[in-house]
Parts: sequence; C-alpha cells; structure tokens
Amino acid sequence: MLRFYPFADFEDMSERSHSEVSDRSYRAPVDITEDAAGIHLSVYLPGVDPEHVYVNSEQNSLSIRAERPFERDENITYHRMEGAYGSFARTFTVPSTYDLNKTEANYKNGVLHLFVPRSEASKPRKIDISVS
Amino acid sequence: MLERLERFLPARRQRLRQDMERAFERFFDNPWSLAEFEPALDLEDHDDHYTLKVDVPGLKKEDLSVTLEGNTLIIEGERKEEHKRRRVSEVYYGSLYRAVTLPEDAKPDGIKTRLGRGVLEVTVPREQHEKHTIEIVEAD
Repeated sequence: MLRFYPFADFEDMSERSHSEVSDRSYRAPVDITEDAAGIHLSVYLPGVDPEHVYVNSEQNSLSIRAERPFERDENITYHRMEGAYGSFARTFTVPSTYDLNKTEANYKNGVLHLFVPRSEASKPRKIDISVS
Repeated sequence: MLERLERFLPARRQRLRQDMERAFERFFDNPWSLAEFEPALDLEDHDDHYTLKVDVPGLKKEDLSVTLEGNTLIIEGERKEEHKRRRVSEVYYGSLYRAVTLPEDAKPDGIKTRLGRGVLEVTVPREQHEKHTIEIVEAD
C-alpha cells in the first residue's frame, strides 16, 4: 500500500500500512505542517460524525480511525455515489522529539485537526556557561 | 432504475460541453485558473426532491457559492492556501467547481442548501406529476 509522496524525504514521520484495513476502507487526505510548537495534522473526513472518529497514541505511533457508514434507503435512487464511505484508518510514526501524550484533537467542518507538541527535552534551551 | 438514470445522461453530455466552454472562458480571463478540482458528488433521487451532496471538508460558508444558471446548478468554492510550511499535502488547494444539469422536473424555486461536517447538501424540489395511463387502441 505504498503511495508516491512528493515529500518522500520526510523521514521523520513515516506511515505504516494497516493489515486490518478492509477493501471498503478509504484513504482520507492528510496535510502535515510543522512549526516551532509542534506538528499539525489535518485529516480530511467529510461527512463523518465526530462520534465515529477515534484517535489513539501508543508509544511512538499515532493512529486515526474513522467511519462514515453508508445507510442505504430503499426509497432513494442513487445516481452517483462518489463520496467515500466505509471505514478509514491511518497510522503515523512520530519521532520521540514530539510528545504524543499531549496530543490535542479537534474536529471542525469535516476536518480532524491534530496537534502534537514538541517534547520539552527537544525544545532549544540556553545553557549557562559558568565562568571559573 | 435505468429509465430514471437515462434522464441524467443528456445532462452529462451537456455538462461536458458547458465545462469546456467555461474552461475556454476562464483560460482567456486568467490562464492560471484552468486547473480546477472536482469535488466528490452524491446525487440522490427522492420521490419529491433531489439531493446533491458535495464533499467540501474544511470549507466554510463564505468559501462556497451555489448558483443556478438556467437548469444547471453550479457549485464553486475555494480552499485558500495557508502560509505554513507543509511537509505533506494531499488535499487540493485552489478553486473547486462542479456543475450538474438538473432533470426537467426539478423546480428552481425552493432550492435549499445546508453545510455541515464538511458536506454541502443541496435539496432541489421536484414537480409532482400525476401518472396517466394512456389507452392503446388496437388497429384492426
């Protein structure tokens, strides 16, 4: 399940493919940005009920799972169904310089926003020089 | 099902033509705006209305417009480029455009739109026709 990324040099945050992903699952687009505070992930999940979005962090991996069930109504004729329905899962490996325990998640306008702050230890700090 | 679907087929052809015309117009207006993204569309046929659902995650009301030109429903939007350094970018930034030619029984009055959870829903009421059975006369 490898896909070409224009940002192939992004070694810090590799993604592992999921073995449990069924044929019905789809791949939601992700934007990843980084600033002095940490990593920001935007996962595009249109039509997903926030109750059906699950974010898990374990050791150095961040997993996102979401469901958009398709409820077929017998009284409706479906002419076009281009929207993605089913289940969705993606896992990212986050370097230890970020603190996954402090991950913040927020779902708005069909986009799941995740923020992983830089760990305290990795933040630049001034080292005092003692003059003897 | 097939008969009902048939009504959308000429619409598709027309749409293609309109899209082409539009692309030309746009090209002369602004050659850089030619690249447009077509968002995913669901088209449902209910007894008394049609429902169009367009996936527009992350877009707000002010980023979108819905217009009716003749019997063509046009959905346009713009995802603005943020000035942040993106390391991975899989979503389309720029303008999006989708046009659908409505079937004959679609009523232009009373079209309703709703934006929620990144999905723009457009409800188009349908003309209610009574069914008449036409008698077949057998020739001798």
